[in-house]
Amino acid sequence: MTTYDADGITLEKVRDYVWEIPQEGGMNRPARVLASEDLLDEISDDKTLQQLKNATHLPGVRKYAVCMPDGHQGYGFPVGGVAGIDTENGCISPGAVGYDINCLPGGTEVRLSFGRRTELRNLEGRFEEEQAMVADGDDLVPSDIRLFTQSEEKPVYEVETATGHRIEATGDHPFRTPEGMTELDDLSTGDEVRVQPFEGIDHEEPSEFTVLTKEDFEDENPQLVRVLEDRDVLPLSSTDDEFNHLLKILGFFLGDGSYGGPGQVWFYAEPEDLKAVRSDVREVGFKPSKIYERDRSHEVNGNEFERTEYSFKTTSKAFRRLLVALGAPEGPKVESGYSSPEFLDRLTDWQRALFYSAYFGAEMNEPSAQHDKNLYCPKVSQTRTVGTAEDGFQFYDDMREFLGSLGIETNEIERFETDSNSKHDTVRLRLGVKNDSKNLLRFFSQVGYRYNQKKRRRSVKAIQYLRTKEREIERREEIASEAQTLADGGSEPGDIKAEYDINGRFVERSIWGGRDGRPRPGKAFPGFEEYCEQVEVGDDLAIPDEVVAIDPAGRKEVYDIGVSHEAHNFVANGFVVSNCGVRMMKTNLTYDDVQGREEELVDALFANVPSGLGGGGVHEGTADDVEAILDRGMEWALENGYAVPEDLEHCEDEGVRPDSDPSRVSQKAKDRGKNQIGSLGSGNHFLEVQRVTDVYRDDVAAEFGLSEDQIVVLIHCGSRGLGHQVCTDYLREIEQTHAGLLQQLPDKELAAAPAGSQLAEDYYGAMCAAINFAWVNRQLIMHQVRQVFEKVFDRSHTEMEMDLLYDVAHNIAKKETHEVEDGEERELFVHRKGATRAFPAGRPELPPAYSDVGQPIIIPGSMGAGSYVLRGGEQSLSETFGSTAHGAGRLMSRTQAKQEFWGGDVQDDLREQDHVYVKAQSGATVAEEAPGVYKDVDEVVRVSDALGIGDRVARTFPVCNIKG
Amino acid sequence: MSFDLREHTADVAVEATGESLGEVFGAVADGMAAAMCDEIPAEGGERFETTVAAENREALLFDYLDELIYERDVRGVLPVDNEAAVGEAEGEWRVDCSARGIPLDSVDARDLKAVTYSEMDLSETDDGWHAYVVFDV
Repeated sequence: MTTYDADGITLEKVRDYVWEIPQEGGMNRPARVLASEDLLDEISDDKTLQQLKNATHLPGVRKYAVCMPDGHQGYGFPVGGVAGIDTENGCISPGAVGYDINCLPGGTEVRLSFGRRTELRNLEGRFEEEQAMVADGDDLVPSDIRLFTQSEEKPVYEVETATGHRIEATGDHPFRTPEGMTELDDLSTGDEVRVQPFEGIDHEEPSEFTVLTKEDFEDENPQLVRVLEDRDVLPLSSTDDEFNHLLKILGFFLGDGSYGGPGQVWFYAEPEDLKAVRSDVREVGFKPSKIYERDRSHEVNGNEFERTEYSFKTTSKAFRRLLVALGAPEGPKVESGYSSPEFLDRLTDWQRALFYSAYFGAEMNEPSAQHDKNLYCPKVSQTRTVGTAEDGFQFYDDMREFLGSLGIETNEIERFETDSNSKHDTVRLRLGVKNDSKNLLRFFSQVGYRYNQKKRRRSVKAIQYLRTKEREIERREEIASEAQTLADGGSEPGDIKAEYDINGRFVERSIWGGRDGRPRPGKAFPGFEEYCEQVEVGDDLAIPDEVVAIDPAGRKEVYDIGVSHEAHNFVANGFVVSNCGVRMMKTNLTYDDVQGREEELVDALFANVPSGLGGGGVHEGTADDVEAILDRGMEWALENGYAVPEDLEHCEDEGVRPDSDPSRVSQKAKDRGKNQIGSLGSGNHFLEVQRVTDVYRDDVAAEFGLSEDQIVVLIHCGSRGLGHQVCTDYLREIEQTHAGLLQQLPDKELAAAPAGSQLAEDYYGAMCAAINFAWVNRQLIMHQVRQVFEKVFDRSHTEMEMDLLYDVAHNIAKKETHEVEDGEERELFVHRKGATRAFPAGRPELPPAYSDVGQPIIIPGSMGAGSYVLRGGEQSLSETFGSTAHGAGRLMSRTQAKQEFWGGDVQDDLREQDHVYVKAQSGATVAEEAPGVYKDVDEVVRVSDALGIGDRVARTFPVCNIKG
Repeated sequence: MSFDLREHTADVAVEATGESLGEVFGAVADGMAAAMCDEIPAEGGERFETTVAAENREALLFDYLDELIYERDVRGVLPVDNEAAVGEAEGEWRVDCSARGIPLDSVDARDLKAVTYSEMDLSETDDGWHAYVVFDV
């Protein structure tokens, strides 16, 4: 393999121009550099490669982080870097209230995979092996924990809900509410939050023993044994993850599974439940079939009815033998004499709960009202032949013992004689969980039902109902006892009655002692069925609850924790700086029309396009203008006479970012933007009149309306001070809010807000608003250029066909859908930091004008080297999340450039040798931007073309250039 | 107090020293002005004052410089001859500062976009304080 060594970082050559830094250490994915060896020499000269590696530490980065051929060192992320970061909501759900976790005290209960829970502080030192449960509104899924840090003491508050769930958290901990994520500081009593009432069982380490070995399969074909060994289920240990999945499958199978034809194992349930069983089958390395659907007619007591039955099967003989060996014997269950698996009593409570809850999911009836406000005993029952009844009895007796060890009481096992079937005499056995409220609460919140979503949702409602009922009973108990005390002290019954919001009879009975046992919840209290109709449980098993108290709970050490739900998602801030980009405007003029008038043109442009520091803007803006621009982008320009409709049709996103939220842009940023609407700024930003010197693809150039010798105008700038202020504001806010997460990253400038967090949402809204501002900024400059040309050439701009070719940003993070590992389609925040979107024909985001040909890409070069127009390449989607380079990277520092060049000389040389007319506010800027300080843009474009990520269409060369 | 402009590939860095925190802050700010303008007039412009607070020293330096960039854009002046007094009370750091604001249209100045945390240093030395700040140009 060809490798390239760059000062401690080794790159492996994948193929021509493609180099990979393999995943290692804290990298979440590999990194790739797209470059020739010459460019690689330049790229490896500064910290670019290290920064690229650092970027892969960001949680949620998919596939690989990519460095474009023009990459160079930036802040945090390298300039020329592209990363696709998963947008899906990732967060962790602590036992009671909450959603995303950050800043929670060590005593907070956290839900872990396999129905376990633990205190947050117990995760220290072993979080990497653990999976926390993540609720994303759609589902509840286990995810790896990626970040775990302890921070200094912070003030914490206790939040209590109407059903008695309590959680302590810092003021900035986000809670899920109907309005989205809301920080604790913004919550008040009476607000609705979503809670997760299921608690699970305390985590404990299982003691290690061998469950199955090769000897258990002595009579089997050696090939079958090899299949099991290959899947790591042989030998099978009590501490294997696979074993935990098998416990669930086994429990469910004993309920609603059966063996079919040779090698087949069938599972029956509702489609959504079967999905979860299938996933467990996959976890142990076997392939489930698709879900089958068939209509069956049944006859019960002479009534015939139709129902649809859903099922899936596995056809691996090895899998079937595995289940048999674990204790699910073949032959009809009724006479097979199965009992509890013999290893069961050696397992931890949470492991036994996996087995039993899966069985309950299949077999136990769901929570329902026995009588208005009381719930039935949830029961399981089974039919056995008389000869095997003892085995069945033993099975239930073990179940009683298990539940008893968790403090859950059961009734005696009942035994009924039944109508015997044709072959055997049978008996029916039944076991129920006692139905007093506290007992049912323990059962539903610790064990409950597994796989069966309907029963799970129902049991969540039951938990909340019983908790509410308990609180009401406690309230009434208190009143009863106080009333009695008052009566004993000589108060009149009439006065006591007036004291409480409760009916008089209740007070009387409390005083006269006419009540046996605890009070009942009262008439107005809803029945269970009525309650169930009032509340909704999400698929993630969260349910609305009401905040009843928020109290300070002192200062405590808190933990920051982050999870990767498929990929925890981050919007990285430091990446996306000024939303700068380029646009190119065409004309029907040729170089002949301009030659001899360059001086006049450059002077007129310089006089009319504000540039440099403090030069104002094309539009004297008001605060309202800034709001409107942030909100509506180019539509504002159109409404105010600065654009024609065709301009919007040729702009990325048609010039309006719909996700913009101006209210998330600070007043400071708006203040800075107000007097910079339509201004170039300085540094590397510029405006250039250019001529087309080369056309490489005639057909594409024709579609774009480009031909040799044609005059075009290129504008390169961004959102100015406003965009920078947005970036600085959020960088500082992320630093303060997510300090713990930040410490885990190798570079502070990689500041990232966890997606799903309020801050990430705010930042995305603000950034989209700044992008709108950037488009308007470039549009107003283009408008100014049209007017200058009209004056200089004495023709209308429509006559000169001064049409926008395209406007494309190269400093931007956008939500886009791309194919990631294993061909999966994911929504990503694609971060392009000094990289240009390069979508080929067919991507739905493209404007109709380019949907069949691919988008134009404009790559500005330095003053002496000219620029390029490319077309989005077919390979960009698979290689670079649809991106290519954005220009020529710097070679030389600004200070060095000023020492080597003098602005006046550079200007003279360019005019005399290259016929390029340059005018700038500052001679220093000209020196700093001299042609010699940039990398060779030709080589950058050659690599882009060879890789097929951006196809070379045309090359342009400057005629006039103005800058700050 | 003194400052130097240091080389940085794409941008510009300021290295400064001062006997006190206030002095080193002022020196970095003067360095920032020098990075924007080669010839700063000795006179002209009016002094303005402002106050910035933050959670620690580095953050305060960052916010202080960011505030000066903001004042520059909003007031349309180049902040020079910077003076700063830095103090801490109850965990909050605060700088009371002033600068002479030279109107931008009377100087030949270039934009400097933002302060960065990149390679930032603010440390105590035998002689006082040392600071290094990179600016995004």
